[in-house]
Amino acid sequence: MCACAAGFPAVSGLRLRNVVRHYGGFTAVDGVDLDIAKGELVTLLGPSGCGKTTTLRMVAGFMAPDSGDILFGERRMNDVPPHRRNTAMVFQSYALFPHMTVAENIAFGLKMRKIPAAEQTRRIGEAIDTVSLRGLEARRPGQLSGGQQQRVALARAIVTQPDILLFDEPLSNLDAKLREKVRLEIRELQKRLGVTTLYVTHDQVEALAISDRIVVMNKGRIEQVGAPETLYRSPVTSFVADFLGAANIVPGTAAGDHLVATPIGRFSVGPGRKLGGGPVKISWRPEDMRVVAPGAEANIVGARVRGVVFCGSFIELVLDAAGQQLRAQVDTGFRGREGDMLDFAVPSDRVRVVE
Amino acid sequence: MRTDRLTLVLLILPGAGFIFLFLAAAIAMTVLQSVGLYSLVGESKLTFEHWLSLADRTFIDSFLFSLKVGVGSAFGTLIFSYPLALFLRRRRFGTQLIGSIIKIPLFVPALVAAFLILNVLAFHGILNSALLGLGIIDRPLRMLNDKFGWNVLIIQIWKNLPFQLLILSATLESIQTDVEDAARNLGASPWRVIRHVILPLSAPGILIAVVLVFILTFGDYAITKVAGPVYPSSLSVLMYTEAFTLQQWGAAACIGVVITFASLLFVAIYARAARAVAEIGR
Repeated sequence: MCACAAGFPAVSGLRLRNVVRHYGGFTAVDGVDLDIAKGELVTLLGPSGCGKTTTLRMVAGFMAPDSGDILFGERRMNDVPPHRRNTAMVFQSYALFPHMTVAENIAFGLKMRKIPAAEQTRRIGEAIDTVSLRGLEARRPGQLSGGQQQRVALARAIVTQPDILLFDEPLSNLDAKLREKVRLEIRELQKRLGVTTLYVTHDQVEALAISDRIVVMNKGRIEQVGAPETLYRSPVTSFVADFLGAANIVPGTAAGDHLVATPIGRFSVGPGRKLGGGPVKISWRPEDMRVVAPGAEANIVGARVRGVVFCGSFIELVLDAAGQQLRAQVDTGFRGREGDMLDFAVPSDRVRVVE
Repeated sequence: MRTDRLTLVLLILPGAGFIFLFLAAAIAMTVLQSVGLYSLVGESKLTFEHWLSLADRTFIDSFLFSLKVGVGSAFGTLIFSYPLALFLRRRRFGTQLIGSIIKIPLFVPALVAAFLILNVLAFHGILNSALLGLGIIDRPLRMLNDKFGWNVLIIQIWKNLPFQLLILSATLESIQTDVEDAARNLGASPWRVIRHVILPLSAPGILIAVVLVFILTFGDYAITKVAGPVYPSSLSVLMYTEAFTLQQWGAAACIGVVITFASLLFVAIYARAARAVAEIGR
């Protein structure tokens, strides 16, 4: 990558105000409110059908919201057609123009903007260097590998110096190794250009690795917004806990300010919301459980080992605690076997109350 | 291995055999008859007199007329079918109904189609009556059997529109919507999306649509016979006249050879062009 590509001059933030979109009787996006700061990379994360792609397409202008507003900076964009929005999108399918060469593909946005020929040439050259495609300018998309096509799509998007950069699952057609590499490159490039970015994915690892903030969506609504670590450590709903990595979710009742009674024992929980009475759920991560000697500390779960899975850097245990299935990750020094009855400790600051 | 080959031959035989017997053999016979061999009437001897007899005004005028109808119908239909295919591509209110209605001419035989349109365009037909009734004209317009062949073109366009529409719709269908979205996203207005993306990507389909309609209309008999000018006639009409009215079987065979090989020539041109276009897409 070369360092010659300067940051974009006219970048702006993005705001969504109570955006709603229906498909027939189905509500795809149900009142989304979101502020994205200038230069920030925000990921929309959720299962298919959660409304993330619909939201992205509304920002690009491919569809209009039924109600609510979309603002770039201070400007309301609802009625602005896609070709006047100055966004640039990297598609899941790459959507390269098959009848054009690599250089022509990258030139397309500049040509549509009637940029002078000399400047076009300079900027195309920069973009090609940025994504390391030198030597492939005269190829057609059909002659490129998936990874190379992905780079062309990226170059074609950034060369237009968009106000907002949009990604629609850009890595899902790459193999696992390449995905990690390109993920880092996209993040590095986005930071260097300082361009406001909305990124859609269903891959939680990708979201955690790439984002300034993650927006977890479910059934057209925002479940939680936060920095990757905040979301991972302090999910507020069982959906977020479960979607971002593995989680043990156990139903119970509040038994005090920081105490929850469950069928598998009483748990003191970390600081956070003050508990009222009534039914609640608690959640913790498999890697927060560790094997302890019987009779130790508080927050102890007694469980029978149902499965031992060697995963390389750790061992995954499938546990049965009084009918409740749990998962634990322990280090590779673990010597237990299936059928063993063991005690596990869960630190109270790792136990979260979730909705 | 042997039974495999036998099965293969048995599978191919009915279709290929039929085509060979009734097409290749028939074409070969016609070619031979055009040079005086295997004559149906009179003695058989190698001669080019039939071909030489073609070198008159009537044949040349008929050839040019057929060429005009072929090219005119192919591109005339395209002018209507392509915008329509673009319109019907996006499902919206009424497109399904329009799409169904438009296919009707496809199921109407050419002769019937000619008669249907005849009623509209005739000297005392629906169109003239309406124009007279509205006071737009004071004498009925002659729209049938005109020397240029406008009415033939109109009927051909009406008849071939759904056919081209089917080909073009399938072609447009094969263009990824993502590609179109990408163009819009990169700053292309709807018109420029069509010009820079949709049109070049549908070029192979346009080529197929144009060539097929050319071949269908170049050899037309029924529509020219009913609605065409008295002179010149199309090549097919001329061929019929030569054979059954003038009993000139040799000359008729020559015309048959001309029609067949002109069509084959266009297929060859089409095949070359299609390959070139396919290269571009790769």
